[in-house]
Amino acid sequence: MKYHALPLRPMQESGAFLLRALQNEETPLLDLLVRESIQNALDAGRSGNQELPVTVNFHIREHSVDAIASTFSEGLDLQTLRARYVRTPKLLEIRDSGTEGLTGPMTFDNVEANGQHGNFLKLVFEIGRTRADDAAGGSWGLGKTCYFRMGAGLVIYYSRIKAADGYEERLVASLVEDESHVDRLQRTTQTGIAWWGAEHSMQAITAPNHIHEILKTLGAQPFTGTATGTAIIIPLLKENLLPVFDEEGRPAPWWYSSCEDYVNVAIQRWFSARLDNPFFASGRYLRALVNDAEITSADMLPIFRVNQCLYDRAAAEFPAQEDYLTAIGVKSDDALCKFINLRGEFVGNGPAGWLLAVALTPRQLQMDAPDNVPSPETCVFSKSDSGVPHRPLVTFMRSAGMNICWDDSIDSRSWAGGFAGFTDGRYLVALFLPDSEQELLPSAARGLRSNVQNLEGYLRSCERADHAAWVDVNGGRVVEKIRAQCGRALKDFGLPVQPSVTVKPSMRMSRKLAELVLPSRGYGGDGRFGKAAPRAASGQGSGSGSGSRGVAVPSPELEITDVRYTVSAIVMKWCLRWGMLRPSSPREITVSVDSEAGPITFSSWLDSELGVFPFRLGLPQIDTALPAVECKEIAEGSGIRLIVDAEAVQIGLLVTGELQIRMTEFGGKLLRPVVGVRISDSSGGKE
Amino acid sequence: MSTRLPLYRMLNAPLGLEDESELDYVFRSHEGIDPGATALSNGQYTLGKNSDWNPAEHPLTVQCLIERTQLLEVIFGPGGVANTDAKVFLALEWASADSCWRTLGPVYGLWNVEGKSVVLDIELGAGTIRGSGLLSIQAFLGQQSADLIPGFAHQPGARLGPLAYPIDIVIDGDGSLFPVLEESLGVEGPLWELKACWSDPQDEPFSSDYVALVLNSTHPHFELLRDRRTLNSEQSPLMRQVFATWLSLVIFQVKKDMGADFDTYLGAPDADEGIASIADAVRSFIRLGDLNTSALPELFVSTQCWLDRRVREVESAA
Repeated sequence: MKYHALPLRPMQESGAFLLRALQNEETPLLDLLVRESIQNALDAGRSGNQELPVTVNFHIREHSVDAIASTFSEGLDLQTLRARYVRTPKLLEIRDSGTEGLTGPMTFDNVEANGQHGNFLKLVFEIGRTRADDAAGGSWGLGKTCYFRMGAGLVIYYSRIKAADGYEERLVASLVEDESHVDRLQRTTQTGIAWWGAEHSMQAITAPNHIHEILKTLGAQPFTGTATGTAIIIPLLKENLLPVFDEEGRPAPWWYSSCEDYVNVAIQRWFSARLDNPFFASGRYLRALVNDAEITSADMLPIFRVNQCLYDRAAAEFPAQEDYLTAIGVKSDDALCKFINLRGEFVGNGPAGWLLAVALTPRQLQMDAPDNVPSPETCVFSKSDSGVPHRPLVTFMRSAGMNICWDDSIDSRSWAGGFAGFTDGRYLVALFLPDSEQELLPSAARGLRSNVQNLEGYLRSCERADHAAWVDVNGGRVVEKIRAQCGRALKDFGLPVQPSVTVKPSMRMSRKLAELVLPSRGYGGDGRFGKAAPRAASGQGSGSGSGSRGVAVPSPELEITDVRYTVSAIVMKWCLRWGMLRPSSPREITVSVDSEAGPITFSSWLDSELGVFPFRLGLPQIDTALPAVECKEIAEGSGIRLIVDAEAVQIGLLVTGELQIRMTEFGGKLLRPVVGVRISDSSGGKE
Repeated sequence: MSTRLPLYRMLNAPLGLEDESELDYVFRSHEGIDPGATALSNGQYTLGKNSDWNPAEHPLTVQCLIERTQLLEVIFGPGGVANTDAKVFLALEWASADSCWRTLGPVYGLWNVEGKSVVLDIELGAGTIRGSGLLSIQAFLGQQSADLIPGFAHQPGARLGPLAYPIDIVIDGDGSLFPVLEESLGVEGPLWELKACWSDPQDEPFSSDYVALVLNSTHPHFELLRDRRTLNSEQSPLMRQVFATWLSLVIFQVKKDMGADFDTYLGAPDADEGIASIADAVRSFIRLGDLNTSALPELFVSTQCWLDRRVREVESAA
């Protein structure tokens, strides 16, 4: 393959810089690699069939130095290579399938203005360029630098993608090494960064035969048929990739025996919610294999099965009665499921997410014989059990389903709120799952975007390149509030407050001291000053004048001023405010029958075939000295039409009179009349 | 608009409109506790003034005295709602949407006979009332007249309407309360302690769930916290010292928790619609008392001086 060294230019990154770019020296390399590679694979598989898993296979095997020497002879100092790798080196192949592969243009010349750079350019040739969508796992484009730290710095990218006219294969390699190192592999380099690719330009080779030859020397298989995906091949692995188990006098757990075993547990550690979990709610679930051996949910260490179960209870529609926690005998009292609500952060009223926690005995975690599973602390942190009380274990994740970190702090401001653990030896395991779709209130002052941003996007912006923590952006307090709420809930769960019969408020002292040092209102809910002061009026004054006598009203209003009773009638005195809405139209006084569902009008009564209408209005006596009022019976006596000469209608016109409501013998004395007024029009009355 | 017409003559709050001596309300509770009722305008009664009464812990009994002559007139008189040979039941009715329930008190049977004032009462159990509620005097037909008279109800139990406009009893409002708890911490325990279990002073209200002055009710000096010599059992000098210390501790703790944000927060204007958080309360103390928060000793001094000043102000205003 053709060697393309990166020349030194102004502001040019160097190999030494890239090897430090992730700024995470505390997390074991294999953990970083698992987090980065699976996250990339899951991101590349987002557009695929949602019913099928994204498959990621980790292969670790030996390879010959000759395979490297023959393929990368141009540019490599072969003498140094053979001197550094006297023993047969190993390679790691991370192969994802069912993903879209390294798509997009292969050179920057092919990128259109403001166009997409695509997976290929971002992964192989770029640093710091990230995916634009909020739900993507990656956010910084720096995570891939961990590949170069796994071995000599050589990384081979092989991919098969769906092209417009069939399939296309691509293979390219890059080397990132400390340019100042005495036993560097490149003969001459100013930056320590180089690529191997096509003959005439710095891009991937695409000839299948050539690619397959190279793969064969490395023991890798090409993608065939309709398969698409990516294989990251990291040869010349370091021999000391396994972290040191620094616990004097204690045996290392079984996964410290080989890189394969360690990778197996690391996958469980970071992707427990998504691994072999068809109920995963926000994307395709993960199918992971190590040297072709699949990690099933049933194979997972108990602590990680618990974590998956907590996720399912929060996000998936999986019946809790049949899940793993129920199977190991977790009672409802030993589990917590709680909404985490924040005040004043979201556009709507929904929660920030869900907090789930469970208290587990060592037996439930299979720590007793004959299983003798290592303790949760060992599984998560690869350190010995700290003894009773065990520190709480809290994890949290975005929708991508990767555990951001496992927090076991007992600080009062930590995720567990200072809960130091159960004194009876149980373990507290908890998970916070945010509600990604919650929209944050825009606030540039709090460091948030001035436009609407969802919680997922905000939390993504709170992650550093290694995705190992959420730290609020300057001015923002969302993460702080979530952590505080989770801490309070977990502390209460771990140390439930015992209701004390001896505690009672000292009301008089509370009132007296408040009067001494607090504003009289606002710091409590006491009623001694009357009802809560109303908020400042937002609209106009309340004196709209409705119903006030003699004031112009738009619609007609009928006021009953007196009621008298006779043997079979109710006599009412009334006052009609004519109203200024269509003043020339007649007004109609009607009587209906009261009912639970509202007044039943004459027409509804008849339509419902309820028999004879129980009320009948007599013609009214008009008191007003207004000669032009004409009265007319309508609707078989269930209404009276009042007609006034249009010229006589003035603002504030009042018509008063007396009206008799006669009750028929068919139940009229048991039914309650409702009288009203409406404007008459040709198309029927309208109240 | 429409109006429902009553099928028989009904009362429409004829009492208490002009002559308030026709009606009198008395509020009581158990164990000699005075609920501290105060009549405001518009028929509103508030509870809790100078009182230990707590709606969660103590019942509320309301008694209503009705002058009889006027009562007979409005019920059995010419414009009344029942014939002179009928029997009318009277009862106090409690209705509260905030408390989510309504009830009638014991019934008083009224004949058209002169006699002593009518006394109605109703007891509302501890922990059953909140927000506010309306108390009204309701009349019902107890026993119908021998003759069927048009316009009078004749079904026993028929509602004859309210005798007076209902009074509005306010249990909860927005009156400030200082979070003071009494707890048995034992004879050997401290006289008082600071309960501080907030996780975020800006986000949690200034209430006893998150912060409280806990007084040890079994401490030998507990009684010395109240000054029994005064009518209203004001706080004693010892209590003022306890209170000043407690205030200083809370302010200092909040300052420590908020770190660099504390000074910014102090300088910010008061929020109009805040939650009255712990931090809000601390800011209020500092502003009202012009407290010196630069160091704990200075804070102790300025807090004591402020409290003494406030006590003098309150006493001179009394």
